[in-house]
Amino acid sequence: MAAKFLAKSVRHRFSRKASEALTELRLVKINGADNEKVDMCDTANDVPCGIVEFGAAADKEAVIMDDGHLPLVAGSGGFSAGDEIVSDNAGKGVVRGSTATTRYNVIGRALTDAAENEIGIVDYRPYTTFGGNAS
Amino acid sequence: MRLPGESVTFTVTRRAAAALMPHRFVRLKAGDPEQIQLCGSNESALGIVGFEIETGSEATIKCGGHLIVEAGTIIVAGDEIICGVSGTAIKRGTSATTRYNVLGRALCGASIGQWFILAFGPYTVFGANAS
Repeated sequence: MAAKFLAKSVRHRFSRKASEALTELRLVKINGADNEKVDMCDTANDVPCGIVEFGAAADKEAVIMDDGHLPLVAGSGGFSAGDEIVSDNAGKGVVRGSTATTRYNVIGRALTDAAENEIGIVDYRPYTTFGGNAS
Repeated sequence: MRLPGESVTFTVTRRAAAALMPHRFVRLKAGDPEQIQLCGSNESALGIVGFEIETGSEATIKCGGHLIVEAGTIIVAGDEIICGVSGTAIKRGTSATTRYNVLGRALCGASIGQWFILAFGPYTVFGANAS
């Protein structure tokens, strides 16, 4: 495993109430029914609003990081520095796919390698992109 | 619904080339980047003005953070937002041959004319893959 640079540097945080238990250093999203709350990202390629900094019980206020070099738990297959990262179905970071007709909700690029369930650093700056040009 | 808090992380100032309405997207004036004006549809915005500004006055433009903006259509949390007419915020379209100048994602929903919070972060993307 290459050397890691686990220098977390948070440029922006905000807080929202947890609609369910949140697991730290995973991706969260705005609750659709109550936009003052956040849920865990729970479908692959979900639309995150940030990474929850500390675990939070349901109905407790949670701290969410959404700008900077942020720690994130890696999902299946892990990721490598430079990879474009999306959410898996448990709020972990995985490498985006390459399906031409799928719009991937990329949260940023990895700055370190991370194996599955390890913590890596991601340069958090969201955008969307298709997996390829099918033409 | 309570409007979640605004959190501005970066601002710049420019002179208003024309009157500006509050909580609307603005862009640099073509040919004179020392001045700003309201954005038109799908134009790339520099940021959002927070106050009504008279022509010729210096305006503070919010360019980073979670920013208040006025909805030009119904907005749902998570929508990718672009500029509509007169600097209002609308959901991006799905035209495969249009490159949309997305300005960020909505953090809460809104009806037309209401304010909502935008996680400001510009990028461009086509509406769909036409292939």
